[in-house]
Amino acid sequence: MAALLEVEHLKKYFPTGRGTVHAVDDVSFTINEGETMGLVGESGCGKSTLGRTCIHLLESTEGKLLFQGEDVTHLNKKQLAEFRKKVQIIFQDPFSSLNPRMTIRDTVIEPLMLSRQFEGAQLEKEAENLMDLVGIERRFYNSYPHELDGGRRQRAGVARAISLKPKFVVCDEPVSALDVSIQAQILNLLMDLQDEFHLTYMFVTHDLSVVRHISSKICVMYLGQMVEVAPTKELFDKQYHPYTKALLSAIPSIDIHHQQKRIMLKGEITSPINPKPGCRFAPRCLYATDECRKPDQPLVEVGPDHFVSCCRVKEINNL
Amino acid sequence: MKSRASDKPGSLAYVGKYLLHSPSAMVGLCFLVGIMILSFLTPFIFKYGFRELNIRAQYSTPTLEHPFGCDEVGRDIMVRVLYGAKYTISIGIFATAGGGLMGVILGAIAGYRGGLVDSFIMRFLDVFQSFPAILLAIAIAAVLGPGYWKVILACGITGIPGYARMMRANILTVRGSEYIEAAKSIGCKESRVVVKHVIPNAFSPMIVSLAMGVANAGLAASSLSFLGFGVVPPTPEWGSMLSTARTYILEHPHMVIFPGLFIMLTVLSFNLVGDAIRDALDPKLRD
Amino acid sequence: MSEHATPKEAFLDIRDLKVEYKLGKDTIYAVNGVSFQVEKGTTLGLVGETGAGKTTIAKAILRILPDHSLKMMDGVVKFDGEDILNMPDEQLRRIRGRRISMIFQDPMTALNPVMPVVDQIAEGIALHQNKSKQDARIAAIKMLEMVGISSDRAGEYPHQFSGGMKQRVVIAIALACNPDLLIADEPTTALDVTIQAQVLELIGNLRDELGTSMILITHDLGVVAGTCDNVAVVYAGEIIEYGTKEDIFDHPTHPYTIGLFGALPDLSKDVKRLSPIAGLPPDPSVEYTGSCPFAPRCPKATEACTKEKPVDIEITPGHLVRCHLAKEK
Repeated sequence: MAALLEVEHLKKYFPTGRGTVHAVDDVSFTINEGETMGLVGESGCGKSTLGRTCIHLLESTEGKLLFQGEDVTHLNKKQLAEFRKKVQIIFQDPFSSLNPRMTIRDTVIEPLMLSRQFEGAQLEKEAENLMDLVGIERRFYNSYPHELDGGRRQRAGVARAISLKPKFVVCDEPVSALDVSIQAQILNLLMDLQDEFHLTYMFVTHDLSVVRHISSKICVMYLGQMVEVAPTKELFDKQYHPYTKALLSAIPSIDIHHQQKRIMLKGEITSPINPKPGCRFAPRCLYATDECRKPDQPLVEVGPDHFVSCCRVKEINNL
Repeated sequence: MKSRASDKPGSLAYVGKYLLHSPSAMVGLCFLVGIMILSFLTPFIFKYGFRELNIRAQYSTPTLEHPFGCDEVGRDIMVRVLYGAKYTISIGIFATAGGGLMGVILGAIAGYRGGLVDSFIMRFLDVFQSFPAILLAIAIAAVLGPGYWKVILACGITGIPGYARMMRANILTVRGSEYIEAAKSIGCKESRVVVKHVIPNAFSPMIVSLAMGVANAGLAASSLSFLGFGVVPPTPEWGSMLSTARTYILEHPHMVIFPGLFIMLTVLSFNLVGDAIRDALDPKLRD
Repeated sequence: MSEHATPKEAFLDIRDLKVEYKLGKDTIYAVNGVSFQVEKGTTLGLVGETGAGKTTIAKAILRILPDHSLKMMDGVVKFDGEDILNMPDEQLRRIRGRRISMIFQDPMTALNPVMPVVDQIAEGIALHQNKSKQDARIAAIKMLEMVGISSDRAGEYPHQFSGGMKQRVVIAIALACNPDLLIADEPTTALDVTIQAQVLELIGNLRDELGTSMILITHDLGVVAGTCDNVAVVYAGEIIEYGTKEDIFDHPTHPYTIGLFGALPDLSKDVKRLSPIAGLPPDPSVEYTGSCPFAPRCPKATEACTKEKPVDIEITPGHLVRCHLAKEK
């Protein structure tokens, strides 16, 4: 498989009144064509910022972005317009991601119209094909978002995102605002579309059971940095980073007979404003020592395609 | 899901439909439209002109001949009140439209551009807002001198800072929404994002305050006329009628009561309509 | 505490609770004949999707539904033998907060932003336990420590706390008067998983320690699995399946319950496709008097399902299923 998106030492800082927020701090990864990469982390860890920076909805502070082998770190207006046709995003909140004053039809037509690939009746037909494809019934074509339920709204958001036949789609928590039964419908839809159009997904979520279901590879993020990267199966079999262990053990399981012992973390997520050097997780880590406060904690390969950023990984896991 | 017709939420058509179904708004609207029509028709339906003197009927209390009575030179007050309606109401509407337009443009620029432009516009408007509105209107009217259009200008300018502030806040809210990000990601040019996505959504909450603003501007216009800065006699603007009549308030109260009553009814009507518009646009009342 | 309790009656006994309210011109049939019991010291999970009526049930127990939109509230809510729905307001006020407490979903809006957290906890203690201000403050600090917030942060304001800590403050307020019944409405939905684990463990420990009964409202079956003794599955304002945790998780019988489990991506199994429940959640402005509300979405629906409303069938002792097909077992 060829690499579709390569991210090298990407940083995204936001200046604020109280200091600089290190939302994404030196992150590198590669997404191959046709695969789904799950990006997991808790609120405020910078996963949404990372997703948006990868598709130029936010400009990176430092680092390099390669898309299909080409350097797309800095783009002029014309290049950006071309790039936009290849990358898209699906948002979390189906209530705020649709313009409340545009009908579903207009929302889906807009990108087609802007692309200038279609005209007149052809435009209408293409839009209807798309709405049909994502499962919006004909009677809702001319409805406004507030007249629809969350599931249908999210379908409209999906239709808009795939309308230009992109290569790469960032799914930013696309199902976390939906009920379980609707969530399953949208997940199935996303997987069907991936097969049909050979899409590559970056699936940003805090829900590990969803990410396990949909992704082939998982990156675990904590306070702007990757702490563990591994193929999905591998990661759920064996976790090496103390944070990943705690995260996985905290998922409420529906298996009432095998309730696993949860690893309780102490304290709360620390502030991403002017973070101290060293491992970001150290203040909450059960195994933290002075060594963890040293700067530069690189990702180290501990197994096939399994990377961990922890200086005590060997001692903790008896490797 | 409500089976309400698919009108654009927050659009004028949507608001209009809502108004038709609200009894109180209809009462207000009927009063305003009715009085405006009568105002233009007074020369044709009443036998007295608005400045026709009739010394024998001086200070006449309400009679069948003169339902609202007559003033100090025997002019028919009903004719004058109705004829004057178009001044107060039109001043209110024009002043709000002008002030609202300027305010919306300034607020939109400040909110969307941000940074230095924002600071400059908002600090400039702060200067305006640091005076009490009516005092500012008086100052502007005093500089410009009396007259119909000058009152409109004075009342309009005082409204600008409030509308600009509100528009700026709306723009900031809308600009942070995900559908703006979505618009960018599907390749909308910035101009299209602003015109198609930001402005329409930021503007619809403004409709309410504009509707409410008409009543305020009309009231301010009457106040200016009352103080002698606005529309001058013999034009029967309600404020200036009150101003003349206040000398006779003890002996001939009807001279004060009728213009005052109509000012009150007009403000009330505008507020009824404004309330209904707010209800129509309030997202909490929608599903 | 339960000096009024008669031995035969459950601690909290709800029978045929119905709540309707107005929304514009429509009537919303939020709760349609719900009955359940909560025994002392046990936890009941109310599971269901958005709009199923879970929160309305909870609010009806405390009688805190907004008066202006409430159209009808009917049924029996007996708490420790006392009839809540027909109780004078003054008497009810003494029960609310002291004997029954509620934790709301959003910790951000449940706290007063201009009051130090310790005072917010002390307020309830002073009000319900007739303690002096000083004693109430000491008790409040003790409560804070119990939920894992050190006493030197007691004087801080809510905005200085993170989401998880705010929710712990809310829990401290709810438990400050040592209530007999705690109603937790999605207490961890706004929190991250690791924080959720901390908060759930905290609630569980405090409940065991203080012997509190609890109603846990959630949409997350995983949370129920780890916390509850009994489970009620709510759909369209009705309890369509009720039983012990083992009944529901090992032998889900109602097609909706089965559907909920099927729609869930399971961590322990590999499935390529999820099986979502077809269709959409029911319209709450429709009253399902002559049919099963789930029939339009049910994969097993027969003609009887659209013609007759099913009644509760006890398939094993204590395991109730409101479905025509349950008869066949």
